Amino acid sequence: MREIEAHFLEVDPEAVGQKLSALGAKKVQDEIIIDRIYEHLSDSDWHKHKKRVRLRQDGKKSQITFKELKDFNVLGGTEELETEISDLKAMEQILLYLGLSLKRRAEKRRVRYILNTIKFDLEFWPKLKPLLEIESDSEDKVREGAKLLGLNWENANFMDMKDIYEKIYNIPIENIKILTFDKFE
Amino acid sequence: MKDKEIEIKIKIDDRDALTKKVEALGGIFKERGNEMDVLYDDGKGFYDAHKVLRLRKADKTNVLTYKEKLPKSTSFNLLERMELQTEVGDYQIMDDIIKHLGFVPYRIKEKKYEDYLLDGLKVEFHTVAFLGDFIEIETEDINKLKIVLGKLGLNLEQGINRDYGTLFSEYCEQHNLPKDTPCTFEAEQRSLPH
Repeated sequence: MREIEAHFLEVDPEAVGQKLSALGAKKVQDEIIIDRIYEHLSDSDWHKHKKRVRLRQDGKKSQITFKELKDFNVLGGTEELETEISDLKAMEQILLYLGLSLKRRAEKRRVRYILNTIKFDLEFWPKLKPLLEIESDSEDKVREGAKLLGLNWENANFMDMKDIYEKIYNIPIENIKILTFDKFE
Repeated sequence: MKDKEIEIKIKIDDRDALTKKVEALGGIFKERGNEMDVLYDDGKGFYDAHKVLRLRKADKTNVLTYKEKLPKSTSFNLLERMELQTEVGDYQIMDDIIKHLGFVPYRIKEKKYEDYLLDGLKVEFHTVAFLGDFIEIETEDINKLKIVLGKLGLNLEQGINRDYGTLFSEYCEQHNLPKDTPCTFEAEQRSLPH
């Protein structure tokens, strides 16, 4: 499945939240999400295609996601395979036994609104200004979401978070193992 | 998450008689069903090293399991392994993820099972395609296991310390079947002389 989403950086979360509420969007989540990213560190193909496995604790749900960045300049540039798992600890151990390595532990706060079939995620990442992620099942709907909020499509960003850190904010995270609100090392 | 599995597997000839024995001894029927397993290999010696990566489709759940022999496993009659498992929401997506991790399906294996609880131990009857009927009892208490086996007219020495995948590989070799023969009831049916 392709991930159809666009980021808008440095938004005012309060203003966006108010606008979404006024549009009738429903606030469905406000949680700290903990991610663990695993990679085949010695596999150059993984590095080249930005392949990674993410284990996510999202409220009461645990998920495994495989991501591969195909093209960061377009919407839907990331292939994403995602399913729920019942035991995050066991899954983590299995990945390690299969030869993957823990690349990074990261956390973020997500405030999610839903309007029809469009997801609006206000995201708060350590060391970054708040950003908005708009996600839906088609580019037209993502564009529609941006338009509803009066956002200029020219400002849409399609990078993954690593590139946002490194290329936009000039914060290298390649060797950062813990990227949380209280630790950056 | 369970990290250690000790089990005994014994080939049985008269499953009905043994089932009746379990029931007569107060065994409580728990469930029966079918399981379809896919075992994966990385083509770099993963499977040959007796490591198991298995995605199981059962009647109600999908389960991903990793197993490997314990380094100190010395028993000829018990299968002692480290086991990690988690339920998985979407079978097809997990299969795709595993393939992206560099693994390919190596063996398909089908099994019918019937589970009982006897003296606090999980007693399972398995019918595996091509291989026939087995009783499997999982425990960490070997003395308790010996007592239950004794009540059933079985003993520790009858235990087979190989998994079904290995047993089926041996079966294929003995019967000149191609290595990639699916261990399914359909394939078994097809292989019977007309």
